[in-house]
Amino acid sequence: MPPTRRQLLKGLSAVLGTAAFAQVAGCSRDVDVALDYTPAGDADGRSGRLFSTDALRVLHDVCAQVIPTTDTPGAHELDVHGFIDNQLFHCYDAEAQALAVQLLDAIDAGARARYGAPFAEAGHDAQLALLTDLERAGGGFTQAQRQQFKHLKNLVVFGYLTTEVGGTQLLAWDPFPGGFRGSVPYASVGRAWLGNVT
Amino acid sequence: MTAETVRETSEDYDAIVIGSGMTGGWAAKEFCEKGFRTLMIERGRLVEHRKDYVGEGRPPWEMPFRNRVAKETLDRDYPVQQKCYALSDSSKHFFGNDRDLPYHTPDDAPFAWIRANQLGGKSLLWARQSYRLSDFDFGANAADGHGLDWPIRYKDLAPWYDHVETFAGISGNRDGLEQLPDMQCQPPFEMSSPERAFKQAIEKQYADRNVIIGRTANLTKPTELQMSLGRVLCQARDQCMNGCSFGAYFSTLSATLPAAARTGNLHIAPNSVVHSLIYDAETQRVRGVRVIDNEDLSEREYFGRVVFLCASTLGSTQILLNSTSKQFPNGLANRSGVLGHFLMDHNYNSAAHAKVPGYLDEYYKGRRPTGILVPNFHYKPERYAKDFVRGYQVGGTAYRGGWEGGGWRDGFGTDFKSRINQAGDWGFSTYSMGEMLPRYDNQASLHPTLKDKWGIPQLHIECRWSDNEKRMMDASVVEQKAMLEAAGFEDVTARLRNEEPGLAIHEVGTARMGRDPKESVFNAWNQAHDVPNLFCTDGATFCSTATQNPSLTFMALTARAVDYAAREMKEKRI
Repeated sequence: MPPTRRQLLKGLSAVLGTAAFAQVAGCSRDVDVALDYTPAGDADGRSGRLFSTDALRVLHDVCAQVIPTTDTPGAHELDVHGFIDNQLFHCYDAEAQALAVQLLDAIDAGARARYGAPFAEAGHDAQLALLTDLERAGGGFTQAQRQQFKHLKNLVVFGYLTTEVGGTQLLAWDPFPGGFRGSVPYASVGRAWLGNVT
Repeated sequence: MTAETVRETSEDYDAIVIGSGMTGGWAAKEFCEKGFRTLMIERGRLVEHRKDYVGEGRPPWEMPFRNRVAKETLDRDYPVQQKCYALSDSSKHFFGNDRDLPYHTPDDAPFAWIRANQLGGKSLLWARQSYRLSDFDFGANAADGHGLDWPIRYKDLAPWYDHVETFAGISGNRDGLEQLPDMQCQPPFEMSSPERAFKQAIEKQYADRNVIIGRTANLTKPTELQMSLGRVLCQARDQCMNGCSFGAYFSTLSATLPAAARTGNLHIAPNSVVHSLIYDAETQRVRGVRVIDNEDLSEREYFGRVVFLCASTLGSTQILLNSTSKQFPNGLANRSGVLGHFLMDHNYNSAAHAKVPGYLDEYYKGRRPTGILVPNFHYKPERYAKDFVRGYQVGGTAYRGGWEGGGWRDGFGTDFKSRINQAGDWGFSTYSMGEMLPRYDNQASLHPTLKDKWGIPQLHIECRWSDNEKRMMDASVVEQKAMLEAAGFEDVTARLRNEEPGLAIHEVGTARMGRDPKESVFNAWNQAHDVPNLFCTDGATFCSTATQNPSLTFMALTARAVDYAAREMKEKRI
């Protein structure tokens, strides 16, 4: 009978020694702090590194529309909007940054034109209707804006599923598979692996 | 099990090994185990196994950019290194900082020189694919007239392949192919179902082709010797390039260094950038090595009876070119004038992709540190294609689409959220790995004026793909597409890529072996024709690239050369 993961890890701990094992298992890490980003919870009314207060508020609600609260937290509750602001600021070029800023402005302007209210105050259904139009390049939105929204939406998904909640509760996380099996029933996993993020 | 580190010393070592990567680690281990007091010289910092694997095992939420690297850091420190697939936030500290490591190329001919200057070198970062060369490879230059004949044949290296494979631990299958000799293997990794289907389809429809599981230096059944070095079973994390505290993949730090250190014969001089070799015209031997301190730029010298250059293909050649004397005005051991010439790399400039229908009730478990391989099917002249010589192999993998790119799906809210964590369709991707012909014009030389911060002349590297390589890639696009279609896969796309040489990180040549001192730098034992106590056993000595990943051959050549040198030393000939 193959060992359980607990037995396996216990065995490895014995082979490697406690200190080395703790390191492998990620129990004692000096986390980079210089450029680090700390999740800010669902805090509202702040400005980002790239986005203005208003833009960040739009993005907050976009996150909530894409990945809402269910039995697990929504993207807005895990500060995915703050993550996206930080990620765009540090890892993307000026053009990508400018396009993201323009898109959030366009969403806000679209809400004002359509509903006479900023996006954040337009209400759930109005927001959803507008974003649905954007994703279909309808209702006055262009194909280029749709494309830009897809990039942003991918960042929402990436930012959410690479949080601890996303990576371990929604996805299947397997830090020590213990070996490789080329064919297992999908039902035995039931969801996508987190995998290695590169 | 620690080695003594050295800074100033007057000791005359039995053996000096320059470099601590794949090749240097083997040279040091073999010398130490034969009882020779050995000094390993490393230009970079010490890296301690486990302790310094600072990117290992970190889930994305513990990393500032979820394992992406800040653009500012990439642009400032890694303008060249960032082109390497293996560079991420969790591995970037094992890559050289480009600001410190300048080199020069013509404007129209970029070359990516990937650097890993620390204890362990690129053995920490390598892709671990391990294959023997066959007699078709050793004989290829002679058979079709491109390049100089290798001075060795398969039978010369076969026992040394056995030797290094048994120690290193390679997982793979005994496939019985004449162009890809069987190895000493630990159990192979499994194929997934779509890969097995691909294998079945290709082997049925193409008489000349096989599909095998990639042979990789990851332990699937560790031996007692490997476990005694602290190496255990591969966990299938596929994060090898971050360093592995399980010691499950072969590296200097996991394997050859602890083996060398426990003999008590190993000494390490870190932060020692080799400037040049010290040549004694009277004895016609090298006496030692002149180094510049990596950090404070002071100079010092180390002395030994025999010197093994294992500083990487271009690193070793740079040292030889910079070791000039009245006897060798154009670089040490360079009476032939071929030093610096015949630079080669592998060509990965084509790729293909297909959607695999079905298998939606299947998945895999674990992250396999290898793929599948279609070995070279143009491996001898009678099997050459019409419009190019030599051949290529095709690597690939089947995978099940995951959550990445989930934002391309339309929709919002609870329904969207319920779908983003589900696996998608299966896909199959392939890439080619083509042989590059040895050409005199592809070369590295010392730049006449530019120097690095240690005062060492920069390399000027000129390396271009030839029409033969381009025609080979054109053909491989067609063939990859045909094979994926033959397997019944859908939406097949295949494309050329336009990557410069260097990015395979299989650079070889520039100080080739050969029988004739007029045409080569090193002899059949990797011993300099002109300087009997000087050896080079890294990729610099290759006469051709073959299609296989070269590291296993570096290891085997090194172990064989040390054995020869030890015998010559015992007989007092060197």
